[in-house]
Amino acid sequence: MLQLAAGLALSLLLLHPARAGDLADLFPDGRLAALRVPSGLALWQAPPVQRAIQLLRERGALAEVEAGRGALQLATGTDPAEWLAFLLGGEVEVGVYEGQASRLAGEGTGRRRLLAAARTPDADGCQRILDALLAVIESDEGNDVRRKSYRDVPWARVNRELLVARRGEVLLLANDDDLLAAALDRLLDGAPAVAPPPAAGGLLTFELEPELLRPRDLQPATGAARRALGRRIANPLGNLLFAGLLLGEGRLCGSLHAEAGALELRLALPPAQQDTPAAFFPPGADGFSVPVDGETLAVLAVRRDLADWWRQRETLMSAESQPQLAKADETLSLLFMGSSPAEDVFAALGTELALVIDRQTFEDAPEPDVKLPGACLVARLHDPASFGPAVQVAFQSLVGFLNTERAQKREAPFLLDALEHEGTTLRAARLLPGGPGEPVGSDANASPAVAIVDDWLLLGTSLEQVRRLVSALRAGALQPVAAGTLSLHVDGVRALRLLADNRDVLVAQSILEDGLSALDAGRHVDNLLALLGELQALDLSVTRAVDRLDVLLRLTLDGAP
Amino acid sequence: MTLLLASAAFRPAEEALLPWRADVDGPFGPREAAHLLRRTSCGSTLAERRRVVELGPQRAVAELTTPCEPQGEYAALLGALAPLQGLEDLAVCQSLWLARLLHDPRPFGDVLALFWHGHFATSVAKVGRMQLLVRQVEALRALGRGPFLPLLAAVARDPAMIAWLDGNGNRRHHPNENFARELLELFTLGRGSYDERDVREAARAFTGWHERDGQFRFVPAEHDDGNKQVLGSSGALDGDDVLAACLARPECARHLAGRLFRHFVHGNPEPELLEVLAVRYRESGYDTLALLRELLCSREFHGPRARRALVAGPVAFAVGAARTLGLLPDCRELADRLAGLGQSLYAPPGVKGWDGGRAWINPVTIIGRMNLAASFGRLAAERPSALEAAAGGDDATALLGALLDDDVPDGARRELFALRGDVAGLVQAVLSLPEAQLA
Repeated sequence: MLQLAAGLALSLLLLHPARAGDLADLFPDGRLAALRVPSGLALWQAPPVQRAIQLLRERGALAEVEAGRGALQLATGTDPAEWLAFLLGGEVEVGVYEGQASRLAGEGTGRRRLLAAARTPDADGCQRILDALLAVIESDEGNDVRRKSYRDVPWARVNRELLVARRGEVLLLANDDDLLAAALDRLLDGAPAVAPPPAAGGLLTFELEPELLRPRDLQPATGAARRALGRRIANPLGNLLFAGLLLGEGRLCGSLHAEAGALELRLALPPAQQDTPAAFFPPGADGFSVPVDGETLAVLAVRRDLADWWRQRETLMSAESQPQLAKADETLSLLFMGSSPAEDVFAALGTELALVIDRQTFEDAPEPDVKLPGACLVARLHDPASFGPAVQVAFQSLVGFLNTERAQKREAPFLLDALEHEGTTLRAARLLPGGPGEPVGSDANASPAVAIVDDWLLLGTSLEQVRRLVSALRAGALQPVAAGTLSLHVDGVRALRLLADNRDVLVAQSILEDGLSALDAGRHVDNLLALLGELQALDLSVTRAVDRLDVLLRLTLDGAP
Repeated sequence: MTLLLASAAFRPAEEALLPWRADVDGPFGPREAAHLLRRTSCGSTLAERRRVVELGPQRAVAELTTPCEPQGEYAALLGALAPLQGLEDLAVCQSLWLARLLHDPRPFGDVLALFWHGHFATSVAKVGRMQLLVRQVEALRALGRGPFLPLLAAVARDPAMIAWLDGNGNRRHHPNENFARELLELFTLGRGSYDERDVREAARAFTGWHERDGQFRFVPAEHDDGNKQVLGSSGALDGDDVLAACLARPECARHLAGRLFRHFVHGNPEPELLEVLAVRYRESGYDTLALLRELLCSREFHGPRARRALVAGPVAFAVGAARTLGLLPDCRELADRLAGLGQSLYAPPGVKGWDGGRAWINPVTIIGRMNLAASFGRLAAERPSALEAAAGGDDATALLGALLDDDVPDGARRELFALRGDVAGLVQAVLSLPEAQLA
């Protein structure tokens, strides 16, 4: 029945193709976000969307939705999916507006206002469905439906929250009276478009004002305050990765695309400003290579000038984080025997940086209950002969610091070791093993190690991972990464294996947090793992173009060619 | 009511401790069962109450307080939670304890462990190592019902307690009095039953009782094996001798019996009654389970003075409401909320534990309890079948019966009946009533 209805709607749409920009004309100026779906049906029928729905249905995750659908069908005699296909199967346009000024709290503090418009195949059919839906809503005594008219166009208010109107084949939904009235005025008076529609192409396209992403407690970005968004990322790693991408001014545009076995989200971020620190966009070729091994589940690669970033930390990060940054600077200086972190330590590293994430196998170490992945920083050294020994001494000092701290907490210390592996000396620290029968805590995930292979620096949380990466470098097993600015590759199969390693922990967490029985929690986690098993890979890349930053997020699903 | 109160007040102590007999003392129906289950299990479903009514007070108390191995679904749940048990994470460990309280069909062991956790208050805030606290509570759970001396001896050797009261600093030439002082004042005798010399000498007896790598370790070189005099006992006393000396004093039985009575029965016992109870406790070899069974079967317990006579602590309030309504809340979130209400498991505020009683209620915690009630309301509305199974329905009549034994003022009742159809609002409103804060 659903396919039949969908087919019918599709043929009607083909007879009356959407006129680009028409619906956009109904939206008054000032949209914070605009979303346009050229064909709701095409979005619904996109293979990845259908596959996701099929999987959810197979695993009973849509049971409640199916039950609601059945109840509605019983009440109306029609499958609600047919209505949805009819109402939303064509062109759909959505706008988000700033909230109305609040007399108490000031401008822009009210609830954000929404307006949606959909072009249906025909006016009569639209009205019939609308009447039937309102009748069902009205039949529930808890609901309040009021019908009115505006300039002879009937409209209804549902529970003071949702406003619905139809004019011709156009269906309008809003949560604000003025917005609906403005849209009806434009529909009746044929007002011209006030803003160019979002770029065409894809299953859906959208545009966002950066204001929409701005935390509501921040003042609108102007002048120097433009950096506030970046400064909100007080976490140094987050700041290093993302702050530079958020410094541009202008609208953010995007589109969603689907093909067999893959979903792609393409974003165009506003370009970085002229005064953006060079730290985030150092000169150099776009791509580089990093070592990977058989357990690598993710590679995060960036091109950053760490020394410049550290020099400018006071302007790049919030005032609250400065005391901690100053302390970190002091500690780094101490570890590197009085060297300047910015001028001597970070400046010794190349701009091609990667974090390689590996699943740990614990083949020659006690296996903890919670199995965390290992993470290894991979960088190139300008002068390995002089900087290599400094890194190794700093590593030893760091382990010493850690042991002092752990001793104060009566925690088992790390034992320092030097190991030879394929002609490379690895400095490693392993936890002093507990007695037989002693529980293995999550600390056992940590066995920090450092190695220098030619001009490569490997500094990792897991000895077994660093060993594998040394072997990879020796064997020339390098993976190219398209890190113009930032790239992330996640191997779905290996990430799933990591989750499967922790299945029992996930089940236990589900019992505690979802209130499920052991059996239900087991099913819940298995369903989740099966769903994630559909993800073959996730790839994110950010590259810098002349007039924008291009962001590409691609999900490759199981069964992709 | 006044007559009943008056007669109870003047009833001879022995009589007040006689077992409640349904044919002489009054009915033993669902209300009485609910009262018993509030104190032994924090709360109860209708089915649990029916079972207790069928058994009658004596057999019900015996069943509820007898330890049993986890079975069936509860055993499966504990097995499934095992991977989290070794984590050094306060929130996880708090959640695990709450899960036990919520799921255990017979949670008296944990209810009693919670009492002892307040008595031997030890906090992860200073100890630092979460698993030491977890092991301490496991010991309280395992030994809490038994004779007091083995429990006390285990606590004196407990690595968390040693870390908490600076046992490693208690050395032959430098005695640290922290443990000795709390032993005498809080754990056994109570204030005024010892003097400063007893504290100093007792501290010497515990020198060398150290903790190393999470285990108790007696260090002979740090132990003072000279003559000491503590509470009238003298000789080359060691820690165990001091513990025995404490228990030999009648004040110890009085102190402990009083604490157990005030926690499980009501807050105003007559001195004569406590004296009788203390004598019996001491003569039984400090058999805590025997004492509690006598109390839970007694006329004093089932009489009107004990009904809704205690302010429910945050854990008892939340766990009781959840068990009564068949709710399974997010234990991590619940642990956070309970900390906001003043009861952070494994982290009591100081050596005296939680003050309890009226101290649980202040403007901040009232709002916190209302917020918790609101979240339970939302949860109840999401799972109507669980509510139906546990409380027998989702209307005001069912909820008032399940949560408050239908005992609320008329005004409140009218307001609750006006919330017809709003399950979330109704649950919130009932749990926010002053009566719902009492156990």
